[in-house]
Amino acid sequence: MKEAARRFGWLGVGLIFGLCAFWALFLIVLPMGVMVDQAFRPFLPPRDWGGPKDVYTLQNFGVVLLNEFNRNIFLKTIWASVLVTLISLALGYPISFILARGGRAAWVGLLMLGLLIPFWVNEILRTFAWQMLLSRMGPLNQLLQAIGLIDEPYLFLNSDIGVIVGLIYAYLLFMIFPMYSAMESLDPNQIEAARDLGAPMWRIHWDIVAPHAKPGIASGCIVVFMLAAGSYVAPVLLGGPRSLWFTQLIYNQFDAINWNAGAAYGFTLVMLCLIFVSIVMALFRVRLSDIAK
Amino acid sequence: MSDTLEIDRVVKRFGPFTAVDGVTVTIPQGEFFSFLGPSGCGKTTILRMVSGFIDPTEGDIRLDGKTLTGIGPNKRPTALIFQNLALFPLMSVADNIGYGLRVRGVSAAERRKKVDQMLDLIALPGYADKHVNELSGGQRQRVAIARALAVEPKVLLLDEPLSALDLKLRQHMRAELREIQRRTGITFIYITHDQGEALAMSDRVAVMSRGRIEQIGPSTDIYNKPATAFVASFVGENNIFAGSLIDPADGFAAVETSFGRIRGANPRGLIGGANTMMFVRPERLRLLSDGETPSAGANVIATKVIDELFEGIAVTLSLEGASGGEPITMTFANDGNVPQLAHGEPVRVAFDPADAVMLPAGEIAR
Repeated sequence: MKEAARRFGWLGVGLIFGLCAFWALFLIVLPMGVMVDQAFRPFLPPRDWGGPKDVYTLQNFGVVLLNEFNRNIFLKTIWASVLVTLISLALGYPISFILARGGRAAWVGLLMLGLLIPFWVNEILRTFAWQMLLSRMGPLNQLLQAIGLIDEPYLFLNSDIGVIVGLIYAYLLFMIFPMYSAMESLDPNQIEAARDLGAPMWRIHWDIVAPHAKPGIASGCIVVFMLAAGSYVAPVLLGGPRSLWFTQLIYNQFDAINWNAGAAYGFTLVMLCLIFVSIVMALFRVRLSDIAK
Repeated sequence: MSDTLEIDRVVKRFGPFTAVDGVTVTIPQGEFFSFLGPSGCGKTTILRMVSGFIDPTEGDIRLDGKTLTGIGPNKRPTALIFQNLALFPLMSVADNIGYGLRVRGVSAAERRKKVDQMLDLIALPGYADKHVNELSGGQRQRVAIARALAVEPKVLLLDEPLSALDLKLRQHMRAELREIQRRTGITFIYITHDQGEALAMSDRVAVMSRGRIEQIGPSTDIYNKPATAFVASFVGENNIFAGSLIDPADGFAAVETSFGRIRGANPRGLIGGANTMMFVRPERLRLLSDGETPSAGANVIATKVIDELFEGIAVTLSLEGASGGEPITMTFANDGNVPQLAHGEPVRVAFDPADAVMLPAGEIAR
């Protein structure tokens, strides 16, 4: 503190602390507090605000969880996000390993560029591109028909498959980068030592690489799950009316000016994500400080 | 059983760079063999070829007459100890030592037995459940040795594993390595740039430079009978007198120096006029006291003291000729009576021509 004051002056220190406090209080704590508060109040016309009917209640949550339609979409969002996370992990792990262990080979740089360049394009545009790729007469259907795998065009866009594919594409990088940086810090001698002691490749990954990269794997899984569960663009553009996502329910509530129900839906999603994060961390036996690294 | 390792005319090129340039050596089972050389001389490349991480560009490596080429490092009967040891930091001592057995599908009970046996060998009984990070440098060293020996390799390869230790521990570990090697009877191939390590532990040493073997022999031969200028200058200290060889006769010859004409042994039979380097070990020089007559035939040179270094066990003098020039050094044991020599004091130094060796001029190790 004294050291900081010497460098920046007390005014500077006050400014830094003031800005941090403002950011934490007004941009995080207060909006969240308002949302939680709204979630536990009934939806009322403005003249009843603060009146006898404006009491804390769980009725909004009842709608989220007891309504079968809502509950199904809620559960679908969970399992689909888990699926997106697992597939991203399966795809991202080898890519991360190649990036981290490929050395200075030119094609490693190219691979990295290839992963990054699409992300210079707006997310909505990228999702529209997938809409075209997956459409009824799109290139994927034409390819599958040409090689004789299917006879009729498959309606990817009217099922959950479109959403899942779009989400994996959108969030794969968030899986790769934490794993890549964790794997890059692994001493290559560890891999050679295991190999020298007789371990086949899969064994080296199971015993040496994956345990070392565990914090990266966990943080990748957490980020991808949260982004997938909270995504809006891909479900809207690739899912169609038969494949609703939980975020669309939240949006619909706010759209219908029922902020209270919307807040309750949103609060439920936040809780879900927190529970998932805790489960993943317990499962991988990682601490928050490991992930922060 | 005779698990002789043959490295047969092995060449390894990386692009235009030749790391190993035609190395041939046969290492019988149970030998402690060292490759000694400066960094970049190709010794690590040889080690990686024997362990199977890279394949030779030309030539062959055989164990017990059967080629190892094409056999991956995980299938070879060799085990490697890495310079940084590469212990698995997330595993216990027992899991580290037992890892090679676990991947071979050895049962937990049998593994435990072998681990205990290994812990006895490295004198760390009761350390099985310790974490690797709790161990001292020397203990980590021993665990690395046990991990490599647990898979019962026919050849153990060591890549300067002692370089991270402090001097005392390093000297202790030298003796311990030698002892483990004797007890197990496994061939040890040791890679080092530290001549003290190579000379102290090895049955035989190969001195390498620029991808080639300069000399192979027992430590005493490497030190006392260097075959090339590189070996003479790389192993131990040596005074070097370069010049044109004159007056060759009866296995001896002379060279003109800033200290005058000096005679030395000419084991290679170099002819007059040959470009030569004469090497004299500092400990072979002898300080003559006032009025002392040197033995017949000895080289006697008149010098001035530049510097006197007291090193406890020995004393080292820097001396230069009457007319200046490159100084020479001499070392003598501290017999309890260290002469106090002032800077510039004239002293006479003598050495036997048989203690000076003349070799063809060549690359000098710095």
